[in-house]
Amino acid sequence: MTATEGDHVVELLRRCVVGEARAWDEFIARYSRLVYSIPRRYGLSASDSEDVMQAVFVAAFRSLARIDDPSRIASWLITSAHRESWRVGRERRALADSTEFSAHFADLGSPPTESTETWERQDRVDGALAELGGTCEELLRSLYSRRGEPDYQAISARLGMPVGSIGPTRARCLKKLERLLVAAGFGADSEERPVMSGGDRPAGGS
Amino acid sequence: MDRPPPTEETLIALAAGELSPEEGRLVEMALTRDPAAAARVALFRQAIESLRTDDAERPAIEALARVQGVIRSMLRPVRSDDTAAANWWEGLLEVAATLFFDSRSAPALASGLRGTSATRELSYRGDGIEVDLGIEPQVSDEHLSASGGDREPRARLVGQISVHVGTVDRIAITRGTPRRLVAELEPDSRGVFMLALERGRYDLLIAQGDRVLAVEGLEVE
Repeated sequence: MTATEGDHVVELLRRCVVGEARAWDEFIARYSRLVYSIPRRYGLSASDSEDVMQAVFVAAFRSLARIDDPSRIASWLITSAHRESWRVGRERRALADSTEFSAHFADLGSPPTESTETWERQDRVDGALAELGGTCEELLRSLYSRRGEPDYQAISARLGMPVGSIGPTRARCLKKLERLLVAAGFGADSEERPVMSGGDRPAGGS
Repeated sequence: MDRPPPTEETLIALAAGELSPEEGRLVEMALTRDPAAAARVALFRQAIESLRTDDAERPAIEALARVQGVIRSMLRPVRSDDTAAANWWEGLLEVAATLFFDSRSAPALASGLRGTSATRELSYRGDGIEVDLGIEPQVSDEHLSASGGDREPRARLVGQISVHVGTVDRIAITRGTPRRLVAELEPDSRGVFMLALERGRYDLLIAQGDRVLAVEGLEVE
């Protein structure tokens, strides 16, 4: 996460810990994609993935006050979603018996480092984009949040921006995003990832 | 002859995969002599790739609202014997909202869809306020709270409160006469709330500014 985004997350978690309902709404909205995407990538159905998402946020509700380092909340949620995906997945016999599903759980305690890094990176970009906000966030999400060729005409119509302005605006927005990400050490930490302290690890698991 | 270094627009186009194979090859070659530009392309690529997700990896809005509702219902679990917080409405109750739609008694409305599902839908109107409620029967406590618990079948009450002016501060679910508080919560910014209830007859109290509106006699089966 970026420095400013990091401060925002720390403050957001503080408000959650004291029981502020709107902070919880924001926290759940902020991290729902990260949490929900993990069981989906493991092959769980949409309905089971919703159960995983709910269980993870309920666990966060119970544990948030005990998390030592709020800046590592994404890692905590990833690990929790990994373990909960295993719990829900193994109740689905057809899924639990599949080699593909089991392959994700060589370590039941936490997902492969590579996966965690990818998901944290996605989360950081999400956070930086949210920090950019406005036209830049809308444009970059419109251009890149789905696979395949962007539909420039549709984006132009939706954002009220001439097609010819999309390229230069995109360049300006990516430069702003780059600044935020560089300031947060994005990319620099992909080889050396901070390790969560024991107190920051979700309890339970396999 | 040396080619000029790639422009920023070219670097971005390369990262976004918009250059032809031949153009891409030439720019990649130029990047081998410019590590700073290569690092920028790598960052742009990572950022763009991070943004690309399948729709299937995004939770539905309804699922998100459901989780938010579950957490909200856990935030202030005031029990009926917690009298200290149980009477914030005293002296304020002044307006009652009246029922104007009940899917159970009007099954033919809304192209036959309302009234046919297991969810009972109720709509109330009061002075400057509309309350839509859905009561979904037989939801296990485990499903609602993911906490295990006593597995007692419960109904899920989902509501949306729309006010013409201002916002709703908080709501309370009470039971019996005199009223005993069962739960107290804040609806979200859209006025949506959700909680699990055992069978029984409840009153819903809605605090808005210096008034409290009552939706009385809510039967949960």
